[in-house]
Amino acid sequence: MKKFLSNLIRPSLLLGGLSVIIVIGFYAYVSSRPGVNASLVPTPAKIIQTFASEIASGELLNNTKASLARVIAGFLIGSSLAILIGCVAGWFRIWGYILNPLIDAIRPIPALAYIPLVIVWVGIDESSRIIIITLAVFKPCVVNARAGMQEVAQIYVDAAKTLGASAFRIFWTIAIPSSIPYLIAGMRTALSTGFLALVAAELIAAPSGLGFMIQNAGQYFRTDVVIVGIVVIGIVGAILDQIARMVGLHLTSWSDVRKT
Amino acid sequence: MNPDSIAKISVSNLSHQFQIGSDSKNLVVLNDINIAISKSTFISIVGESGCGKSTLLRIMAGLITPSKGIVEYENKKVSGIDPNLGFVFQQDSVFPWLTVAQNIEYGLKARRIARSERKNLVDHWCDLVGLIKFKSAYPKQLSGGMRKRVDLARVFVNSPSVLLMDEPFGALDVQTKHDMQEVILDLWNKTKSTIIFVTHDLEEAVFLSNKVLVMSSRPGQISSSLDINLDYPRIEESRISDSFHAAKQLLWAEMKTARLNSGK
Repeated sequence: MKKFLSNLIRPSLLLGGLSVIIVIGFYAYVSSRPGVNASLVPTPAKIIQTFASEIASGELLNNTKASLARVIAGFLIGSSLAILIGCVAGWFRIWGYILNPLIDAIRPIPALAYIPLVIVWVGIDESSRIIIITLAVFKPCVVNARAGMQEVAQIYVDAAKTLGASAFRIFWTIAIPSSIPYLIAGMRTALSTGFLALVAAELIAAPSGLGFMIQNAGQYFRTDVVIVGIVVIGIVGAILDQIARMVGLHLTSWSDVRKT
Repeated sequence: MNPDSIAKISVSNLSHQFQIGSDSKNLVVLNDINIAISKSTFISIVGESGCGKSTLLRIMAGLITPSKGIVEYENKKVSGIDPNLGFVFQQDSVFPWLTVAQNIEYGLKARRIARSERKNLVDHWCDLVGLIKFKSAYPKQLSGGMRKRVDLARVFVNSPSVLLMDEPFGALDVQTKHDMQEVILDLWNKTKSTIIFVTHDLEEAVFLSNKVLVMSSRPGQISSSLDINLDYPRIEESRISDSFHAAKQLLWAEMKTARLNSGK
């Protein structure tokens, strides 16, 4: 078992590490070419230096914390609302008739399009930024939750019925657990769209945050700080996605679908 | 009147049609079915595929509302799902997200049986179907035969007085199928329930039942009824006895007649 695991992990670490190194190496090569403006395309060494000084000043940590708090707040509100609405719309026919047109109408609208409205209606403060992220998170979650409900196998529903389960019990004990893989997939997509919206949300005169840090540094041509901000968003996002993936694997350990 | 002679479950003047496509043409699946089944009978319904035997069973279970006619359980009309009727499906219907014990407990919970009683019943039935060691295993860790045992225990634990079985062993290999046939006869003997068993396997019908109904198709109707007068308990060796072969041959001849009558 141990040997099997180490064999499984090693190539994934090796190949994964290799692809990261190749990208960094290519960037290092380009940035060190003669004629490349070092203040516009900073070398990896310079970026690491900036990273260290941003950590030392405490700025990076503060900005990361502020952004993380916004993403998590928006994610929790958006995904719980979306799962509730998506499940109800996908499972109960009448609710589907009522809610489906609304869900289908918001599907093509990017969350960023709501920004002007949110500013006018809510103002420029923390709640408006969280609302933007909530809206961005809501869409993939609601669509996946509804799809999961529509894919519940009829055989399990029939079996539960003949065992005497009420309509609500079938919803709660058959439809919900059997659509968990869809709910997890929706939440993982939602996490990444949440980060996407974060940078835009922090355009709304944010006093802190990684998006703010990037915007602000861009105005002063501090490309090194911009790159540090981008990389930190990538790393934080990837860590959160891994956590969501682990939770998902744990919740679907009963399933015999191939795990990747 | 002898209470045993009163039909436990009966079907009267039952017809059923499906609408095909968008045009108003209807396909008559079942035509004027009349059956009366007395208590503790093991009755099989055989017929070629498409004769409507599964539809008939689903109507009896209340899963489908018939176009015409009624199903009665102890002289009361069955409308919708009745907790006295248990159903075993051909497909694997064990819930994969619940353990063996939780699967068996499902119907008990739905019927709000007290926790302590649930536990006793689950243990008892895990034991009866030989799965006590696998109580906390998930279905994906079990073989097809073991999952079928979970399925049977999950239905029997609710002590339904009538069991409707729709080709429950159709997807199993021959050896497992034979094992399961002995399991079901054992459970039938212990519970004295009435079993209505749909199959297309003539040997299975002869081995299990004391009565077989033969259906012809297009439209589905009862073509003949055959009593199987072989002694219980029936064991693996019963399959090679002369009387078993004779009964099988008789049933085979009835099936041939039914096939000739189909489509008329």
